[in-house]
Amino acid sequence: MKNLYIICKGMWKNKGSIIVLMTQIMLMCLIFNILSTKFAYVNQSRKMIKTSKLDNAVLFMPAERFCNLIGEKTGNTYGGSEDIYNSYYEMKTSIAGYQDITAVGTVHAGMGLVWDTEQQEYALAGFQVYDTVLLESLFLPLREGKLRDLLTANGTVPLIVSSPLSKMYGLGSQMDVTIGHNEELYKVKTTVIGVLQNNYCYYTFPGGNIDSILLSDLVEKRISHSRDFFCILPPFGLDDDNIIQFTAEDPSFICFFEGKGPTDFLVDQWNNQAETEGLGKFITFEDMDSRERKQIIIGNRSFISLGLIVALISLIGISGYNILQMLKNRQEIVVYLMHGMDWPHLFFVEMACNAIIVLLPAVVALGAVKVGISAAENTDTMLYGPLNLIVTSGICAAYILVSMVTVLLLYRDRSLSSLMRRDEK
Amino acid sequence: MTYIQIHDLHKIYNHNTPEQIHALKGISMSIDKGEMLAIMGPSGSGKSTLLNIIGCLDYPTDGKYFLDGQLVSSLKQNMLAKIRNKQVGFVLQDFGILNDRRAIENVITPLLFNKSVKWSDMERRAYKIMEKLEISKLAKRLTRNLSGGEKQRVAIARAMVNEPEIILADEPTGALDTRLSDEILSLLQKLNREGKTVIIVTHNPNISKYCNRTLNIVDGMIA
Ligand SMILES: Nc1ncnc2c1ncn2[C@@H]1O[C@H](COP(=O)(O)OP(=O)(O)OP(=O)(O)O)[C@@H](O)[C@H]1O
Ligand SMILES: [Mg+2]
Repeated sequence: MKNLYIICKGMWKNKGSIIVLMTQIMLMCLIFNILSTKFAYVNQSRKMIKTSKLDNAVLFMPAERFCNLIGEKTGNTYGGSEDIYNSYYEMKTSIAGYQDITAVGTVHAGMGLVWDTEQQEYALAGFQVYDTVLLESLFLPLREGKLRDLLTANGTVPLIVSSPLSKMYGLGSQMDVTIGHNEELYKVKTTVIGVLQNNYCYYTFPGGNIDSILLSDLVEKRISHSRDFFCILPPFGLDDDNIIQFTAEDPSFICFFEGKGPTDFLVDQWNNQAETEGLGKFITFEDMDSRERKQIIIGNRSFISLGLIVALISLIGISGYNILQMLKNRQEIVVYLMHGMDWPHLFFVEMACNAIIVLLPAVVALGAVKVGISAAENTDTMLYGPLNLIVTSGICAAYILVSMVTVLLLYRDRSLSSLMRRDEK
Repeated sequence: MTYIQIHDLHKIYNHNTPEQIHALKGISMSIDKGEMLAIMGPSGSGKSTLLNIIGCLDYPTDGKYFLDGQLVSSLKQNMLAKIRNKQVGFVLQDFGILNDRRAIENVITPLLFNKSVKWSDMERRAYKIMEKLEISKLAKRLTRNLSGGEKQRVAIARAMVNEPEIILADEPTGALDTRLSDEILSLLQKLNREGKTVIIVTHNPNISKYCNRTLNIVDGMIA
């Protein structure tokens, strides 16, 4: 009670500057939290690579001209150009014959092809599963069902659901999913063929001519875009209201090979061969990942530099303000010390004040970002996650550290009489 | 009965630096319980320094200081804080009144650090002492709005609230006119008659009217 009184009195006296301080801290936390949500999103696809066998594979990207949609449907050719389709298959066969390459899987650049300004070509950001080779390499942790059933078309679209969603739709159950196509909505019947072990946070878009899928169908009336409810569908398309399932849509391949990671030498060799054949380029997932990161950094350059400037200004501002604030409090502290407050007690009180000053706005900022992201419509490029907690606690820790040093410098090993003298002036 | 015993006390500020100041140069003295002592001397002679050491606000550089038989000069910081809280009451010229608080809040300050006084008892104790000093009607006033004499009474009440044995006053009347100054000194004299040991640093020449002993310090030594 006495401590509470001391803390409240001290803070109330400086309420103006404390509010300014708290606002500064909150703004800083907000900016850094928004930044970290962007980076968390990148880490998500990297994690996918790490948890799969994909670190033992490279990505083959054909020349830019192939990066348009190429469709293949079981039985018929889909989407027009048979030429492109044929060249795609030729390419796949050719790549499969390269030295040490044991299997070639097909991917679909669903989540985004980004134009890499530096390399002057497309970089792949995220990918989707198309064929058995890839499916088996992905290690999607299924609790029930079989991954390869994703590729068996039997009139309905097979679907893997997350654990929470499986409570509503268990293995074998059917559900209608609304998809948009040519600005019209269609109902598509899906059958649950697998349940993910955890709340897996990956969602594949339908490919081909499908524009969008309404997630609200999957999550009923619950929070849309909640990661818990995401599901995995194989890519499929609509043809006169019939469902057509694709096995390939984009001409990038994932190539598996003998041994562990490919040597630079091997990758160079493949690339030379591909170049003479006019095919495209091999890239390791690590390269792809770093390129993707770079892209995100370039894309958010202004945001990041703003963040850094704000960080710098706030750091100076906040520390300065904090020091000033404590200086202003000094007469009070000296009076306390004179009347019997001891050093550990002083340290406790000062730290408690500063903890309140930093924790309150940090928690508010964290909460705001979390709520803001789950409420936002387009959260494709943001993800609330542990990084937010780490960043926020980092800011708090830095603040506490600065105030700790300030308290130590101001009061530790200072004789009271000299503190008093300074105050008399 | 000897209450304070000081032997060959030295205080050197900024020891071993070019700024070094030898403020006390071997002070030896003793003060009895219940004495009212005045410390006088020219400015810069070391009066406040001596008082601060007696009040456990500062350590001597050398020499021995016994308070109530205890060798204070060797005690840890935290023990000194306890002594400041329970055994000593300070009254300073114009320092130490928190102007943004009410008079009573100033008076309870030492009680905040006295573990044997409960939160709920603090106000009652503060009122008791303020009544004794006839300032209970000021209790709820902001000290910022009090006159100099009133402020100094609040400071004395604060010094008294933990019922210490000694009251140390560093120029308690320095900012007051003669009439008020006399009032404050009489008040301190009254407390002394009730048994408190009172040590006053002052320039007031009339002080001998109130004190049974006067100590003159010149250039860090007893003259
Ligand atoms: N904390 C300190 N650091 C450095 N020097 C100090 C400190 N306190 C006092 N001094 C110096 O020590 C000497 C004695 O100072 P002190 O305050 O004890 O004098 P005083 O007798 O109380 O003077 P006054 O009558 O002006 O209050 C002075 O020269 C002063 O400048
Ligand atoms: Mg002095």
